[in-house]
Amino acid sequence: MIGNHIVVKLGGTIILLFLIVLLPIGFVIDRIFSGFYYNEVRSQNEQLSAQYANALATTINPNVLTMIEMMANFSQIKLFITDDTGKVIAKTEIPDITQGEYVPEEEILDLKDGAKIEKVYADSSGQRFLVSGTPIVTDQGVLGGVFVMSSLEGIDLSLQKVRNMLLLAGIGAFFLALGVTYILSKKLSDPLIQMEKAARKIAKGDLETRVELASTDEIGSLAKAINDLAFDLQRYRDSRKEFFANISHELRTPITYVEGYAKVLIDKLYHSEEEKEQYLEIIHEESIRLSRMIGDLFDLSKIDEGKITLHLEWVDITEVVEGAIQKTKMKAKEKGLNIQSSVQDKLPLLHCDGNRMTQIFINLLDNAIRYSNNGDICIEMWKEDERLKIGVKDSGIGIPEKELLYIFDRFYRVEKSRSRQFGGTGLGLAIVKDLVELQGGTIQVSSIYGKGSYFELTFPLSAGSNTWEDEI
Amino acid sequence: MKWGDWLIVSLFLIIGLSCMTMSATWMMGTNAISSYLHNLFHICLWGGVPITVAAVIYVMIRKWKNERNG
Repeated sequence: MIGNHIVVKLGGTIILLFLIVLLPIGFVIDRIFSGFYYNEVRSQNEQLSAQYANALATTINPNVLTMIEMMANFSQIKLFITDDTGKVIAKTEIPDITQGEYVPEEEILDLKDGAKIEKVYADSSGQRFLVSGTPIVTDQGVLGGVFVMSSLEGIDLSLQKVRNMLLLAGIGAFFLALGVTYILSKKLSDPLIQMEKAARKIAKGDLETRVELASTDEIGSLAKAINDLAFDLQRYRDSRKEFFANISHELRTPITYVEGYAKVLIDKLYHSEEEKEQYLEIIHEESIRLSRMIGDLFDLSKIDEGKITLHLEWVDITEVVEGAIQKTKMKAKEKGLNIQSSVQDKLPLLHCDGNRMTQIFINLLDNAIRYSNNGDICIEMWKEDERLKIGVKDSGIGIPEKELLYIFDRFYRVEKSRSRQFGGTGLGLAIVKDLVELQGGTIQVSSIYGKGSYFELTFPLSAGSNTWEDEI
Repeated sequence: MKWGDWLIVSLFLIIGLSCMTMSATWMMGTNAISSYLHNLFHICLWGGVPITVAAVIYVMIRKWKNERNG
């Protein structure tokens, strides 16, 4: 439907507004011209009739009537003079008015009241005249009236010509407005149409679509919002694809190991009891890995769906960190690593979920142990600007600078080729980030490739934070 | 806007300007082409006044915004 387009609606509205202004202005201009012409004739008639009436009132010569009649005829002025009864007593060449006939009584009554008469008179041929009557006032009272007539034919012709010109100018203005409106409505609606098309393409799945608009107003902001939305959708779709690809790969690998070694054991393809023990150990390790991965995935899905329940309480974070160190100490010792902690005195309590905080630190320490072969792992805690800061530093393989951005992505690993050697699910840091943010904190990472990494967690301390000793 | 759109717009503007110029010239009672062109120039001049004013205001606002944003 042609009317259901923004260009038509916008253009139609502008043209309607233009016509709403143009038509009344046309009428007003017509009235101004008509009034001007009629006023010219009226004042001329009034002046003449007043002059003749004055002459008749002031002159005592009995022939004055005949003289005025002759002068008017000579000057081609159409007039007639009535006595006080309304009877025409003198007249010039006026076809339909005869000497001796009477003018309407109400006009005579008006004249007797000293009022001037003005009317439009049409003769039998249809010719229109503007009639102006002035009473002949003397000391004895009103003696009659002088009526001067002017043909309106010339004025009507002139006015018709002016009207035609006004109409032509109006049509010109309308076309001019139509041209300008066409440009305006197209220019104004183009960005909207462009965005509508882009939104439709995005809805159909073409997420590479972008709206190219340079304006900085609300339209530009809307275009930017559409572009941002498309970018987010594209990122979400890509990461979802990648996540499913990763998940199937990560799950398939341990299952393949378990399946393969179990088959070897069933078919008794081992040569010694020692070899059998080794295969069983591999199956055990892989099943643990699988179980941990499923646990991590379960945690992540709960976080994603917002179903994770935090049991917030005032927690002495030093105790939590010490607990995590105790749990990971054995693993560190096996690799010859030492975990050190440096805690500022009288640290305030933190309003958080103790179990989840333990999970965060175990994940971070696990990660540090997994990627370190020698040196120390340090945990430090201090208070700074009403914030609690916790740093975990390792001397592991480090993270290349360009990969730091993706370190918290699910299944992301720095050394992809050696992921089995290092172990882990690739979900630990993603869980840490989500859990930290869920509890109002932030996590940052800095690293020197080949030398180690440093994770810094920041938690805001609320107004009610006291030290553990204060609580006692 | 495509070239077809510009053609339609040009047509409208030409018709509009012609009608207005004819109207202005006819009442002056002269049929000389110089008079027609003179009126056409004046109509364009009057039409250009709001465009010039709008352009000046636009440039001033942009300049002011640029200065404010440093």
